[in-house]
Amino acid sequence: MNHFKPDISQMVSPFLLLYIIHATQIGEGILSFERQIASIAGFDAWISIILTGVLTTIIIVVIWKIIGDQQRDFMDIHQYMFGNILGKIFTFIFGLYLLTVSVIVLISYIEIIQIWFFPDMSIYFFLFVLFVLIIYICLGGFRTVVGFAFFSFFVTAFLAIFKYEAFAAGHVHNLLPVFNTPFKDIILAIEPMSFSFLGIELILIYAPFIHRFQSGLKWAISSNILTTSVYLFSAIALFIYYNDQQIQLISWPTLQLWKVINFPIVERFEYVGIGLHFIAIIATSCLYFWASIQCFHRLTNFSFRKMSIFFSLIGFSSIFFIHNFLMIEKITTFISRAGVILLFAYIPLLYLCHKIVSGVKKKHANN
Amino acid sequence: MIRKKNSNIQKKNKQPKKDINSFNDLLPMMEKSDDFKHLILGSTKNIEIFYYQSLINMEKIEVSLFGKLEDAKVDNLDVLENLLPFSEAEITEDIKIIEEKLLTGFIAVKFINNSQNVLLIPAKFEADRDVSQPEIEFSVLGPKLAFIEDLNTNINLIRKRIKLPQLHVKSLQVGKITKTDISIVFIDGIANPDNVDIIEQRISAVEYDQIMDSSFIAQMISDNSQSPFPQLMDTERPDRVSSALVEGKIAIVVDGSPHVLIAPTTLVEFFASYEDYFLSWHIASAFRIIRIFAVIFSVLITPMYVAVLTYHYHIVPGDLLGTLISSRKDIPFPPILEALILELTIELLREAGARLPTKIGQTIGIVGGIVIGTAAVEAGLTSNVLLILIALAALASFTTPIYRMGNTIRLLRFPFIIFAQMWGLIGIFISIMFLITHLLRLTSLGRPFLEPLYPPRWRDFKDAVIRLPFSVQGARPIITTPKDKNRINLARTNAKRARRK
Repeated sequence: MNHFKPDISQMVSPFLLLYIIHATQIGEGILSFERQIASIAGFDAWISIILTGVLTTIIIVVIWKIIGDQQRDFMDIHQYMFGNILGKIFTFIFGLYLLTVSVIVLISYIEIIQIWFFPDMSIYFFLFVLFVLIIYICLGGFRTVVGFAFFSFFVTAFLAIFKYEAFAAGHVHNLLPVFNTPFKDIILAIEPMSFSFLGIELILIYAPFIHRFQSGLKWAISSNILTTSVYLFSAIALFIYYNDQQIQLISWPTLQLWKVINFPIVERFEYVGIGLHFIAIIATSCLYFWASIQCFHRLTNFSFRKMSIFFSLIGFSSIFFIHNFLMIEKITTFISRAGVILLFAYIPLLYLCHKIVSGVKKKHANN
Repeated sequence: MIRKKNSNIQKKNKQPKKDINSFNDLLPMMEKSDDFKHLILGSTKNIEIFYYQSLINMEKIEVSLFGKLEDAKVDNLDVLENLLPFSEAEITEDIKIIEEKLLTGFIAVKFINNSQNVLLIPAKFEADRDVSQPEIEFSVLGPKLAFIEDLNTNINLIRKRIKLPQLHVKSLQVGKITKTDISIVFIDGIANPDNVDIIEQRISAVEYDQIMDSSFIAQMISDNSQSPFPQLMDTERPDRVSSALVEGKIAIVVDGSPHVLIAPTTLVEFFASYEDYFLSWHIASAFRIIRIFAVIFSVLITPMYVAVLTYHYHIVPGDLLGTLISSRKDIPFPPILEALILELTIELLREAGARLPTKIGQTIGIVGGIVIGTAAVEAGLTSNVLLILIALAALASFTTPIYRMGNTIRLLRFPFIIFAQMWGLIGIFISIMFLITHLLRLTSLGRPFLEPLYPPRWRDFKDAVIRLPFSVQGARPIITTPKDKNRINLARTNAKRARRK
């Protein structure tokens, strides 16, 4: 079977998986996930973060098993297993999912900007400029997209330091006693938590772009561990800073925490923080956008350039349909649920099918 | 762009061109120029001499050539060649060589008979200035030599530092009309042959009528000619070029240009002064960090001022806000206009200073900097805080050792200011993202421009943002993909072994 092989000048070293995966996982979620998990599992929700980390690590191993030694991507696997037409339909749905994520990540962050910075900002021109930026990044090829993600990694790492304020002013006994909530709730909190871990499904698209892909597993797992510890650190910081009624009332607990920080020349750190975190948001959105264009590009063989301009127009026009807060919230919930199903149901299922199909085919070949 | 115009060759052939087959065809064209001289000498008046008066050294010729030919009784060029005391003389009938040599300061000697053979005698008139101090990349410590406008002198300055038979020079000629000599200099066995091939292929593909300076070549052969960032380093210091050659880079020397190009290069190298290697490594690293900080400061400070004072005055702590407000309370303009006016004033001062002779330039600096600045603040047109910031930003932009990069840095802030006016801090971050993406997309000879930052190559950090001591500089940079990866055998160098024997 003839596999897709990208140009060597677009391939990156496996070590960069550490940054790519971390950058796709950390998006808008880190500003608000504490509220969502605390509403289900209370202040024992940090256990759910560890559990989710373990589960996603297993999924990463499964993805590595699916891709195998031949470095196939999602399109090859789909066609190999479901035949030409059905495989293409599945890939198309997956591409649509990626495009929606990339647009919704942008739009929901613009909402934060509108609330904190410019309540009466015209969103149309702003989004237009952002899509120009995204196209500019994506047309630079996979290396540029990864390069951008690489720099965004340091931005989020830098911002994570500023959670120190919570430890300075918080009460550690907020977390005690441990296991106060029923174990069932801790399990249930895994679902909202895994929204924040979404991003590992992209490996299926960019796998052929990684040199010596098989050796990248250790970097992917360390990236996931890194993300888990960033979330854990962030959650514990906020849990000891707020009490559990208060955290339910705040949409973006991290931003409220940043408000307290002040320096001799910066009094309201959250303005700088929102601006810096915007880089991480663009990196996430860009990786998703690139992956969706790559999907469609592989399906249709139209030029990458035309496809990205076309789909960015579609993404841009989506702003005419999404015009209020509730709608954004609804779509976000829907798409995250789809992502979780994809991650924890579809990918393991795909692995099982793949095992069976390749076993059968091998048997046929032997006969 | 220009180098892709090869497809036009067919069009060119359509132009009617009179064939020049012999020396006699060439003469009518050359004789139209008044400085083209035609003499007839010899005892039997059978020797013709042709030369361009403006190109040759008359003193040398009058004694050793005219004196001997005045009454010479020869009728054979070979005899004549042995008779004359010139080592580089040659006999040829190739019309192309004759034309080229005549135009570079040779004298053509010919007998009046049917023979087409011409004896060419070198008598070049050198009108180049002496080798002098570097003016742009001046350094307090270390050698103080700079390249001049002559190709051979420049290569001589490089060869003096690298006494190695492996130092190769490849000569090319570019420019349809100017026929400028260009030499590609590299060390065989260290430089990657792919890089040499790329440069040679790109330079020989240049289609343009005039090449007056190395910057013409730099703009034509750089990977992305639309970018404001220089992608080839240009320097006037022979020590910098020699050191780059030893690292496996390739130098391009252009005749008539005191700047030599080096490729491939990276962004951080533009902020490294060669003086860094003359200082101890802690001090050099500190200076480099200061320079990089200066660049960031220079690009961001005015946009920050505009963004903060237009939209986000809550960011500024109360005490500082008081100072800002009191300095701005009488200003009739919004911050953006105030910033643009002052920025343009500074740019005007710089431009005027650069065009004027040194003495008048200083006067302009004092008039502009002190008189206009103070008057503008006292008249209430600009705030004195902004005046301080903009003057500092201008000062910071001049710390970049490579002048070309300094220009880019200075103009970069204008889009930033406009974005800051549109969306405040978010606008600044958007423009930062555009800038990062642009830098990520740039390449120098196909190698990433942001290396070693991205792709991250920790080994190359030894000489990038900081400069580590020589004892850890054992390997050549990865960016040049040198054939010989190691400078020295680190295992055999142990500086402390010699102590106290």
